[in-house]
Parts: sequence; structure tokens; C-alpha cells
Amino acid sequence: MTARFSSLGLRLLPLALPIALLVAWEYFGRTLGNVYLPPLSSVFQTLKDDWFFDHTLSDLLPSLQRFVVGYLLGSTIGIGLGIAIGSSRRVAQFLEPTLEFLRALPAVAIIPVAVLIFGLGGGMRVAVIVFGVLFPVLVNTTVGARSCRQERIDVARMYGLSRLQIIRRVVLPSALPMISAGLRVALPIALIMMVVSELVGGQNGIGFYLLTGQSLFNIPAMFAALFILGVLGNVINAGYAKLERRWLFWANNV
Amino acid sequence: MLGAATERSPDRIGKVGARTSPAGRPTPVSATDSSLVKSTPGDRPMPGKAVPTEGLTSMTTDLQQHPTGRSSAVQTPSGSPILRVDELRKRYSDDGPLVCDGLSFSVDQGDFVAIVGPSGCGKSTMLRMICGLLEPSAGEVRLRDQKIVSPPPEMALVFQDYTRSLYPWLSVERNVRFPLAKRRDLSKEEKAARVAEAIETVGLTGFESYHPGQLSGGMQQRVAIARALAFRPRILLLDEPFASVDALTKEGLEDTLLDVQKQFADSGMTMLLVTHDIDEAIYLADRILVLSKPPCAVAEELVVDLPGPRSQVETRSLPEFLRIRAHIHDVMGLSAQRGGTRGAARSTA
Repeated sequence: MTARFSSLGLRLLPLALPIALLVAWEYFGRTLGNVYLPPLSSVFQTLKDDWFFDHTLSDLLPSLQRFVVGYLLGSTIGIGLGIAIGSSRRVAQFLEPTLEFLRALPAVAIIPVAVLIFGLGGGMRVAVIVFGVLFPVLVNTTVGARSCRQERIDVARMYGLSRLQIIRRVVLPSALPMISAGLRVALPIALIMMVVSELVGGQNGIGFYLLTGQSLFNIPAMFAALFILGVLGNVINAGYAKLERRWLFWANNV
Repeated sequence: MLGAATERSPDRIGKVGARTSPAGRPTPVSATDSSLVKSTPGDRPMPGKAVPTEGLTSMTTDLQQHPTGRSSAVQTPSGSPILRVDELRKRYSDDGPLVCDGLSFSVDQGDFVAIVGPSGCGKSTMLRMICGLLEPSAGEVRLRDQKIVSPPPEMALVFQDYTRSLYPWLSVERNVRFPLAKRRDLSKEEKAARVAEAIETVGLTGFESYHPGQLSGGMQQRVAIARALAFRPRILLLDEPFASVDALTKEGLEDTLLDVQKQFADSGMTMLLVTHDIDEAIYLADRILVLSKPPCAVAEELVVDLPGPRSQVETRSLPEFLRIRAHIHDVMGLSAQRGGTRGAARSTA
């Protein structure tokens, strides 16, 4: 009896702190009456009013669209360049100094430049996400491609595969576990770049909603945006972890 | 992180060096190749069983070309050997130490030759040069009088470390099928049949859909062997194939290898086994080359005249087996002394 109870307690333990924090939020929000700390219930009220589903369509959807396009584009470029650099010394010597320099730039610092080049439309925001995603994926892919065992390459050479075939059929799959790690790191970065890019001259998006809430002193709306972002980030990460487990199951016990 | 990697050789994926022939690979021998296909144990001509004429003729020519099988292992090399290694030398860099110093030997069709030498004596380097993966600094390897400049389509290589050479993202079946990817001359069904046969030969039927990571070490090495067999090479090179499996598995795999040689004897599969295990060499081979300490050269060549079929228990307790073993120990001990002084002189250089 006691054992069962304690195991139930153990299962509830991870939830204890979040619940306590939310309760405290509601309590202090009501008692302090501070404008900057609205009670949790009013945040939820705003969530319900705004996000089911007016702003989901007008802000969340465009944000996600840019996120997906930017992430896919950045990953594709990163993987392509990384494989090229990782499997050819000449390409590496040609590209690395430039990329090394660009990589050292804080990604958000690229925003003003992107605004000049792309204007204030979606193109700029996608470009900023691409820039943020590119480097973690690129670096991991390069390392992954280089760590491909010589024996694996030799086997393919013995059986007459061409250089390109070896890259596609041996080097690329060999690098997949590393590439995947890079893709995982790039997810939250893409999310950050998505929000940050919407804080500058935005017309829509979660970041735009967040900024509007702040500037109109609509504090519950601001917190509601943070809630949405938190949930979004967690869902994306969990979804990716699930995909990774399914596709890279072979990498665990190698 | 990006900067660290430029030191790798630029050519680790490409063909060896600049001397690669324009065609890339030596001319494939499609006729003999197809005879290889036809003369597998599965569709060997049986009395009273209808056999396609085409298969029969190609097999006959094959037999005429190579009339000596494994039974005449003790024979002295006659005619032109299938593989001739001539004064092979290797230095990895201009001022680096000599890894191989004038290696010369030849291998006849259907021979099982073992090459033993102390660990680190350059055996793997030698093997990589023989199969065209590595360009020698001097000397040459000839396959039927054709100089090897890139991996020839008649050779397969089984590496020591299966964890490094198998493709963990492919299932057993797809790993074994991998060598056939480039074979446009084979139909889908033929490829499937070859793969199934190779997997059966190593006793892995039923594990086709498993991934290497889900198998034990011994089973993974079986996959590596099956992959080489599916390719149906004329020459099978084995680089310490059983060094990383346990003793019992090793005995099983050794017998598998002898079975394979017997099975493919008609088509004359030639085996070249590199090992540091003297007992393994005697048990498996018809002929043993003993290498000296680095830089490696052939210190002695001896013929193993043990009766077949060999058996793990009986063969290993034959007086002849023990005599050969004692002799090789002797030779290696001697060459160790000589090589020791040579090695010392080199390490100071």
C-alpha cells in the first residue's frame, strides 16, 4: 500500500513545481494588483479569446510557415555544404575561411543587413532563420562526413562505386547521426530567429503579437504569446525526438 | 571544429593516385564472371538434371582454364599465377619509415594462402596495396598480368573490424546486396538469389531484416563475409577476419571459410588470408608466407601438407600441424631478432 502510494508520489513529483508556480502566479496576480503581473486566469482568458482561432490563423500560421521554410532551406544548404566540405579537401580549403568568419557572427546581427537586402517582408524573416539554422547543421554535417570510417569507404571502392555514389550511399548515411544532432540544435535557434525577425517591422506573427501586446500594455496578451511559444517549442522538440528515434534507431547500438 | 579536418587525405574517397587508368578499372572478365555465376553449388550440373547448355559450356571453359583445384594445393606454381606481387614497397611520406620492403610472392588460382606476421608489421598496408586501394611507393601487383591501379572487379575484401566496415543503417540483407548495386548485368531475381545464398552460406538465414547493431560480433562478421561472397569474387582477401570475435565463434567461422572454398572450388576462388594467428594460418591454408618484422618482407614460404577435410580437433593435433607451428615460431623468432635491430635503427632515423 505504502509502496504504491510512494510510486504515485514519485510520478507527481515532476509536476509539483510547475503547479506551485502557476498557483503562486494566480495568487500574487490577484493580491498584488500589479499591472505587470496579471493573474494567470486573465492570461488564459486572453489565450482563449485571441488564439481560438483568430490569431492562430493571422499570426501563428504565418510564423510557422516561415519557420518551416527557413528551417528546411537552412538545413538543406547546411547538409549540402557540410557533405561537400567534409568529403573534399579542395572545397574545404575554398569555403572554410569564409564560413568560419560568417559563423562567428551573432545570427541576430544579420537582421539589419537582411532588412536592407530583402526589405521588411517574409523574405527577410526566412533569410534570418536560414542564417541561424545553417551553421549548426553545417558544422555537424562536416564533422559527421569526416568521421566516416575509411573501411566503409574502402568497401564501397572495392565494389566499384563512383565517388559521388560513395558520398551518397556511404558518407551521407554515416554522417546522419551527427547531422541529426545538428538539426536538433538548430530547432530552437530557428524558433528564436523566427520570433526575433518578427520584432522588427513586423506585420504579423507571434513575435509581432508579443511586441504589440507589450507596446499596448496588454500584458495578458504578452504572456499569452509566451505560453504559445513555450508550447510550440516543446511540441517541436518532442516531435523531433520521436522522429529521430524512429529513423535513427540503428545509430543507438552501433 | 571546422578547421581541424583539412589534414585528412584528399583522396580517401577517390581512386588511387594519378596512375589510375582512364577506364578506371581493369577490363572486367565478363565471360569468366558469368561462369562463376553458373557453377555455384546450387546449380551445379547433376546427373539426370537438365542444365542450360550455356551454363555447362562456360563452366567447362572455366575448368579448362584452371584445371587445378584445391586438391593439388602442394603443387609448385605452374603457368602464370592469378596474382603476382612484385617488389612492393611503401612509404606513407617521403621521410616516413618504410612499411613494406620489397614484398614479392605469387598466388595460384584456387590457392588458400595465409600470410602471417607479427602485429604492426604492415600486413594491412600490404593488403590495401594488393587490392588497389593504396598506391605502392614502388613495385607492382599484377592480376593475370594486368597491373592493378584501382580495385579490380574480381576481388573482395573482408576487413578485420566489422563495426567499421558494415553499414549499420542497412539491414543484413541490404548490406549483403550492397556489392551488387553496380551490377547491371544481373536481374533483380539473380541478385536476390545470390544474396539469399550468401546469407545461407554463413548461416544467417532468418536474420535478413536485422540491423548490424542488433547482432552479436560473430554474427556481424558473418554478415561481412556474406557480403564478400555475394560479390562472387575470384579472389577473396581477408584481413584478420576473426581477430575481433571470440574463440568458439572463430572456429565456426574458420570452418565456414573452408566450406566456402570447397563450394567455390570449381570456379577457383582464391583466398588470401592475413593473420597474426599461426594456428589459424596452418589450419586454413595450403601455403603460408611468413613476414618479417617491419618493414615487412617475406621471410619464409612454406607448404602446408595436411590432409583434408580438416577438422578443428583432429587436424590441430596432427604431428605435422605441430611441426609446422614450431617451425613458424622459429622463423618468426629469428626474424623478430633481425627485425628488432633493423626497427631500432629506423626509429632513430
